[in-house]
Amino acid sequence: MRGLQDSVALAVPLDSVLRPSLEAAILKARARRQGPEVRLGAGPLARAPLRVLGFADLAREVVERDAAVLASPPRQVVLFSSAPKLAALAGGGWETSPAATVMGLAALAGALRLVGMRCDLKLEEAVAGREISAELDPTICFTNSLEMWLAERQIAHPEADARSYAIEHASPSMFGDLALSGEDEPIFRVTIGPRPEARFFAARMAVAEAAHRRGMPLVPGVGLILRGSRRPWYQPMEFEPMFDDLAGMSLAVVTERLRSAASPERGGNPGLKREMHRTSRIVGASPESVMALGQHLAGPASAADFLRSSDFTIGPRLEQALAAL
Amino acid sequence: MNSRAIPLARRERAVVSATEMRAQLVAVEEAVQPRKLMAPRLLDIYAAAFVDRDGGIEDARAAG
Repeated sequence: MRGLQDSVALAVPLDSVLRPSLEAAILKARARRQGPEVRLGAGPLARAPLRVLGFADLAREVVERDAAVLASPPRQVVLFSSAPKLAALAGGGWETSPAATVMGLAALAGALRLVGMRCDLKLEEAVAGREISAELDPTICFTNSLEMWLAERQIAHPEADARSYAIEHASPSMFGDLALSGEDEPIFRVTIGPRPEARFFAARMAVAEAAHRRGMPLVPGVGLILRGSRRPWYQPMEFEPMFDDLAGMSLAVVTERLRSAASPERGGNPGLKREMHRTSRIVGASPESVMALGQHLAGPASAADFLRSSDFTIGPRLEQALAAL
Repeated sequence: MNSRAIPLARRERAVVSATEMRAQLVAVEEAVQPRKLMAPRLLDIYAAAFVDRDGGIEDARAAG
């Protein structure tokens, strides 16, 4: 039996009911030769970092290789933007314009295509506001360690309620642990994310346990965490090279800046090393494609045109956001 | 053949041999699958690391 790559951490529910449900779902999917639905999230974005290319390449590898270890290869990958959710939870303190959604999704979808992801990509934005009933809140039990981590996030982002945001990660329009009634849901989902998503996976499972106790319908989920991706690409650091830096910059300079951004000796962040290394390889191998994507990501209007004219499946909420640009 | 027909010494040797063989098989299995997911065991999927209830990432070798 082939295992997962060492660079991937496996996240599964630890609950005595949810875990057997997931195992049964995987067996059912294998018997029917049906692949899971794969979901990846993007956050609000103003400028796109080149690092999204490295993340996309690592994610492509996980979709093609590790997700297929569980059952058949996935037919569809869903990308969602959490921008409207965060904006609503922050009460308007965050960037609320559709531009933040469109830039994030265009960067991730464009990067996935550039690194060779061939399957259907469906793009949608999360529902603004709460999808999970406030009545469920008091019955959700996070561990002390998780509560402490969320409290630290609260200090870092005082404008958004971290606990509510963590709970909403399980909502149908985000990672979809809670089933959307009346919809044709997949047998199980695989969610892929950078290292911080491990915390959110634990939060999602706590929500799923509480929802199960109330008899609410669930979709079994497996998390595949990219261990080498320590900081979400949609939270770029100020020293990272961006797509809009590419104009007038030689390939050698771009490569040097990518290397510096991951080097602590040069004021960079070593946590970005794995993604930066991949990004350098992609920029070196396909500079014209990277430049072309950079032109699409020059601003919200061109990013919206790129999404409309590409082969992506666009969800109804995102259609509205695109129409506003 | 009726087990009573086997001399006692041979029967004891057979029992010891089977027990030893089982122990050796377990040892071999652990040696060739050091990264087998210990907690939780999800079907027959192997992973080098897994996410715990706190959302921390644990190395399966350290946990196992």
